[in-house]
Amino acid sequence: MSSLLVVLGLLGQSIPGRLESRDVLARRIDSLDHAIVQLSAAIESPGSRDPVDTVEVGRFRLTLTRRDRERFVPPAAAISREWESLFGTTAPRLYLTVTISGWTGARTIAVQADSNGAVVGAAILRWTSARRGFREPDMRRALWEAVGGALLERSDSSLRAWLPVAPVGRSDVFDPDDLAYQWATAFGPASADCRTGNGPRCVTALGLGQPVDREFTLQTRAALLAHLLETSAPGSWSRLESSAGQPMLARLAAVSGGDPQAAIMAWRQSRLNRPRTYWDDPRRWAMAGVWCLVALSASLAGGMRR
Amino acid sequence: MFTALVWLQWKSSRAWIVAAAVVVIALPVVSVVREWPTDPYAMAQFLGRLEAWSFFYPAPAAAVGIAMASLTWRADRAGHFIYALTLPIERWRQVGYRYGAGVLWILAVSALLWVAALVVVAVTPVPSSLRSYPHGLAAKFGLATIAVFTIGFALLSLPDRSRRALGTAAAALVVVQVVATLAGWEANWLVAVFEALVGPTGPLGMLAGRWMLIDV
Repeated sequence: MSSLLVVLGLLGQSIPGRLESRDVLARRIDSLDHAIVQLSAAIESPGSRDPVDTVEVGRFRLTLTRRDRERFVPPAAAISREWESLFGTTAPRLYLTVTISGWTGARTIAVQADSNGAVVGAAILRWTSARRGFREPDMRRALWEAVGGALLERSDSSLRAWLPVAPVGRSDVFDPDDLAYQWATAFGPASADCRTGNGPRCVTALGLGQPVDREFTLQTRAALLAHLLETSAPGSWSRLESSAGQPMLARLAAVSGGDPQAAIMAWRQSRLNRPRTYWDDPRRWAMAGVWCLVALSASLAGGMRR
Repeated sequence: MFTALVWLQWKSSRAWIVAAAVVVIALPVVSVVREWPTDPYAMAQFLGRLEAWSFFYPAPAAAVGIAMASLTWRADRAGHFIYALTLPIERWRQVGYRYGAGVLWILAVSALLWVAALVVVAVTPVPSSLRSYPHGLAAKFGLATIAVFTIGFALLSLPDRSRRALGTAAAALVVVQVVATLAGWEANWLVAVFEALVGPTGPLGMLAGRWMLIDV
């Protein structure tokens, strides 16, 4: 977490003049990461020992070992429903292959847009510890990260210019703590005005106005787009695709189906309503008190004995 | 009698109390005032450096808690509790006074941190996008120190035989872990024990978590 914050801190130098180079750097890191995962997905074979199954889950066809089937099918089904919601009735079919890394026991998820095509998305689901096993949120995040590559593959050049990462799945985009960090540390007149509730200045700070002056990082922009895609009516991604050629603000209006500034302000409010429990977990305080009472009671009952 | 024990605690552990007071006053000043960016665009890097500094808060909390707990019982244990048990006061009441005297000095150190943090936040132009936590930081320092002190106080008030048994069990766990690691087993009990101690529900959980005076 701390190293991630440091890396994001280095990425997050919100000097307007350096914004483009920062986005380019982030894009290169993302692209390199993507290439490494794609390579590992290509060279590993699914389940060297266990029998391999092919399962139809909504618009997804999963190829995975029988042992992984029970673990992966429920989150894949949930994501398939969200995938269908993004496209309405025209959701494309995706082919997902879950492979096991021989060294770490981690799972690599590769996505193809058609049965014979190249890998368009990939992710690594790390085996954190044998005791915890694969956790549902981690599996969902990894599956979205892999499937998000397919979205990025379909995006047009103007969308990629504004948002060079997939608006789903990246853990640094959707970790609420890191997102709050990005939101709070963006520095400049427009982002400062945006945080106080000035809608037109939010448009400027997000790089949606003229002149283009992106003060918020691409992680923040990705979170905004993801929020709009999730909260808008079904077919939100299809509307984004079909509005190619228009200014980004108009495309966001097409996604949200209404006033984009109002949608941005609603998203801003959700940022501001973040609970203060981030600073510390109240359970720690409560349990520290309980443990103190227990230890003190033990001392009072049995202290000063030889 | 409580007043006498408070001053006894001061006499035995004043070096630790003074050292802790200096550290908790210096930490906010050095980490925030000295590191405060002259370039307002460098706020992200400042928070990264402040997070690195924040790891220094739990260290004095743990050190003071352990030192106070061991110094509280040192004189009584050296005399095998004979003098303490001849005093005309119930045993539980005397244990309570000893504990209260230690807690009082910990609260004094925490109050110094609170004042230092308040002053630092007052003189620092914290932007509206960031939040400052002087009350939370001082309260967390106090509770973390008290938690360590209480656990140490309870362990050191145990009879010799129980303390030896606990020490032997802990040493045995380390030895078994080393053997298991050498034998190539994947089990890691030490990590599990450590997580149980400092996890959100553990007795020393207050030492973990965030210790940022200024945060998002």
